[in-house]
Amino acid sequence: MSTPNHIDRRALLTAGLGLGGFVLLGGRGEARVRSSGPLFGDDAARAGKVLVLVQLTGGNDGLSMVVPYGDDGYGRARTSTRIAADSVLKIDEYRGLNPELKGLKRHYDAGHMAIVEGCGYPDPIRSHFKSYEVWHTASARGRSAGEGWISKLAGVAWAKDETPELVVHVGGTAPYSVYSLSHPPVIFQTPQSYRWISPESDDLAAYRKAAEEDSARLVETRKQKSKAKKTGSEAAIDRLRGVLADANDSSSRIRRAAVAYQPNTKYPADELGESLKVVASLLDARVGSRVVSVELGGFDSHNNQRAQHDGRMRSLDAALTAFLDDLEARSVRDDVLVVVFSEFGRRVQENGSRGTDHGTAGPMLVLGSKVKGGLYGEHPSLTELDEGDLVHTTDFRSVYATAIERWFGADAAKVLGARYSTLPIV
Amino acid sequence: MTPAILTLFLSLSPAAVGPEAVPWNAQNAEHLLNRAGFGARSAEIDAAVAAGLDATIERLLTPSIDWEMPSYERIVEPAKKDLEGLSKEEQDKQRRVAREADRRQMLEATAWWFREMETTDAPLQEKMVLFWHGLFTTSIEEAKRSFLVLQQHEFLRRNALGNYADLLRGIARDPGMLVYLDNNVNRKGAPNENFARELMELFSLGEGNYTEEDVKEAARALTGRGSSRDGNYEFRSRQHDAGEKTVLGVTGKLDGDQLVDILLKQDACPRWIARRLITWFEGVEPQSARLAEYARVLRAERYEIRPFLEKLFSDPRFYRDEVVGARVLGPVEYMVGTARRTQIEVPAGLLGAGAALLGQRVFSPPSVKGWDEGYAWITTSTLMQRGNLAGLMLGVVKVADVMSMADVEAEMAAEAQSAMQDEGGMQSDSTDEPGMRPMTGEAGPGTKTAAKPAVKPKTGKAGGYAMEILRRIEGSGWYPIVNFRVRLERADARTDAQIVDRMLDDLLAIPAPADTRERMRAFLAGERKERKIAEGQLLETGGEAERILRRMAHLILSLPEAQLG
Repeated sequence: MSTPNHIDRRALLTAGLGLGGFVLLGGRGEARVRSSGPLFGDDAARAGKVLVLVQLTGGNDGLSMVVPYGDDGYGRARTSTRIAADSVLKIDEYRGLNPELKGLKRHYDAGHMAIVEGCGYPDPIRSHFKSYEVWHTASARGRSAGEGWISKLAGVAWAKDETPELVVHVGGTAPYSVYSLSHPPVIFQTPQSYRWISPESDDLAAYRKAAEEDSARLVETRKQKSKAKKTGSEAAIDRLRGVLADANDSSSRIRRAAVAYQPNTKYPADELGESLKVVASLLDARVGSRVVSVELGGFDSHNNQRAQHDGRMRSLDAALTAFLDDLEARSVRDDVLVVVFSEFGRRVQENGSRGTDHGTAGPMLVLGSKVKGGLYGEHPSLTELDEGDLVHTTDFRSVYATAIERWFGADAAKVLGARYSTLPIV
Repeated sequence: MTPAILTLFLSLSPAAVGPEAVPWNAQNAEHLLNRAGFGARSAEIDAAVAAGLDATIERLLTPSIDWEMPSYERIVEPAKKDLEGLSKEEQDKQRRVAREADRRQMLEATAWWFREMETTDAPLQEKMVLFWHGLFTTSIEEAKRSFLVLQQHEFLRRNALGNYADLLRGIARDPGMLVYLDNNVNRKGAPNENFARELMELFSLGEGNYTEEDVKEAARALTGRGSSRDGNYEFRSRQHDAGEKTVLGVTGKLDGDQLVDILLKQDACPRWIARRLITWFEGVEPQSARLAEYARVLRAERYEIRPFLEKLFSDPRFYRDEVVGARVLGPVEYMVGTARRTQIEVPAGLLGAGAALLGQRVFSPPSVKGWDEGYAWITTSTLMQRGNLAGLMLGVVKVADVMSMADVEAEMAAEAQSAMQDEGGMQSDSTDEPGMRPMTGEAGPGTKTAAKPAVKPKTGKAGGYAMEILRRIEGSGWYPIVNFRVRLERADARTDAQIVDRMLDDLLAIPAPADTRERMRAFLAGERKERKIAEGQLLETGGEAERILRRMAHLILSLPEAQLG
């Protein structure tokens, strides 16, 4: 059932008023300020811009994605996982893409894909989980540094924006980067399962009424942070009521966007394909999302890696290419920046089981119609290693800073807690 | 002692407070039973209050006499040589039969475990099996064979309330684990450090308490340990690196057992396990002084789990405000707890499938770290889905609706239709336009409406394994037997207020907030008025009352407060 709020919002959004700051009524029971956010830079131009984060979970072997086939060190270190020079998709005489990345190669050749080589951070951690904490918080201290970097970005760039879909994760468990008390993310796996079901209209009404009342009250509470905090059970109930309020507010809108959406391309029927199709529907419907996160798992292989990793590359290529091509003819195209990352790369030398163990630096990909494609940073040396691992050449936070500052026009130092140089990718 | 004075007392001298300081009342008894088990029922809480804290803890720590699993088989896909001479079809068939048998064995064992969690007389033991399964986790996706996973489950089950050192030693020889983390291919001169790293990072010490060099050396110590084709532990001495290694400062010709002993001697080890246990049971991480205190206990007791839990459950801090009623139930706990609280005999397959849909498919953790606990369980989507699964258990929700877009499609088609009618030129034959038919699920080529559904309702394979199980259960004609009405009559709850209080009490682990009580009363009063039933007379209406009560139970179990315990 569509409430008047949704119609208002959709009507306003589709009327093209999504630019600049304006006021939406309803939703959480009060005037909802939809701030354009950026603290400096060209507000109007940057409103509506979106960051899509693609996480390759399990430690992507960067040397098998952007292959330094022209490096003697590569041939020496890699045997079973080696990708032959005549099969890589050549970028230049030194490096080429994994042969499965044919679609992405096309985007690279068209100048819309940037490869940032050797991304990592000082004193690298080889634990999947601790390393992700570093990536998700943009801090060496991990979770003890506080909320995730997307939460901080929302606080800096869109502090007053109460749109539940401001930050969305499509998938099961969301990355820590989007966890936030001030801008809690909308998280769902499929639009099909994203609703509360009752055959009785009275029950639906009771459920929604509770959610809406709580929503209005919680907006007040979130504002009055300084007031005496509840603890224990009461605080837990409030927090979950906030989730329910956002769920109630967003589920119908998201489901409607999915139903109305007609993709221009065929997405693969796997998890990443399905996720990115839903992302496209949300972006096309302009529901107000600024950061959307998706995940491709299955990278944690330690033996017989070649076939498994090739399969992952195939999935990534198919889904991401379908997504980019789908957006090609849509107005939202120029507002989308995609960043692909993983918690670490793999050790240069193979292990004894035709695989690789946990390593350090790896490439990040940045894609979009506004991206100045090409190579950024520097490929790490395959011979001057640190305990057998690559030494990073670009701090991954430089890529974050690039997105924050050059894409969103927000103050990256405020978000990241330190200043990192940006790259002229956008 | 009143709670206020007690709190003051505790805050002044926490160390001086003995077990007798836990005020033993219904709230604390319910808290203990919920944390040490699944979904405490009112009668159980009353019994625990009457028995006292010490007796309750003692009973919880007593293992079940029949913890034995049903037998399971070493199903192995036929080897190439066994299939020689057979036609390709016959070979494929034999492999398929083996795979199908393996899958069925997994499903049956899963269902058995869920039934056990729901009905056991030793709930703490089951809770600990779930804990260890999350800590020493292994996934059927990688281990491939049900036998490996079930053999590990049996090992964890036998040692659930035993000794952590035994568990660590055993898991370092567990064939399922060795396969899962690639130690099967960890050989002399060709090390694979996957298991060595996780053994230290996740199973014993925690990240930051060893170096990269330690990981490499530990991997060498573990070379040669693997699983035989049959699924037995196997030590291949020719693959073992017998040379000298140095792990955590200890040098010698270390093997796997010596490595585990070195880990057990580290100060980080009892600290890591104590932290995991306290966080699991309390829902919040312990402060460092308290952690140190509990780590000392674990060390002094030589890693025995029972004395550790005994201390924890009789610790007044276990009953503090920050802890009670503030822990998010995991999906397994929510499903099993809901079945227990509603006292519905739910097919065990439904419990397992429901937990899987909510993000916790047992024997198939998302990573070697197991499952993220706490708030990570609750997403905008899973919070609603929890309510849907409660609805399924109560017979209020249908499986076909759980993964469906039919409602939105119908709604949008209706809107499109009325929009076209509003555009003027009302066409009498408008319903013949293909795009105007509600709920067709797809639109013909000539459609002009914006509401053309692009996402077809996935009634076929959507939701995968878990949905398939749910469909099968519904297809079998299962319908819940539950009688809220009789239970309320027995409790002499008749007015709206009495009924709501009783239902909330029975279905929630925590006291309901005042506004929830009011909302439920309003709901009940509204339903009564629609049917012209006088206040206090609802239960007299028989089946009608039962249907309303089921719907109210569905609403209650969908609330945020039903996710806490």
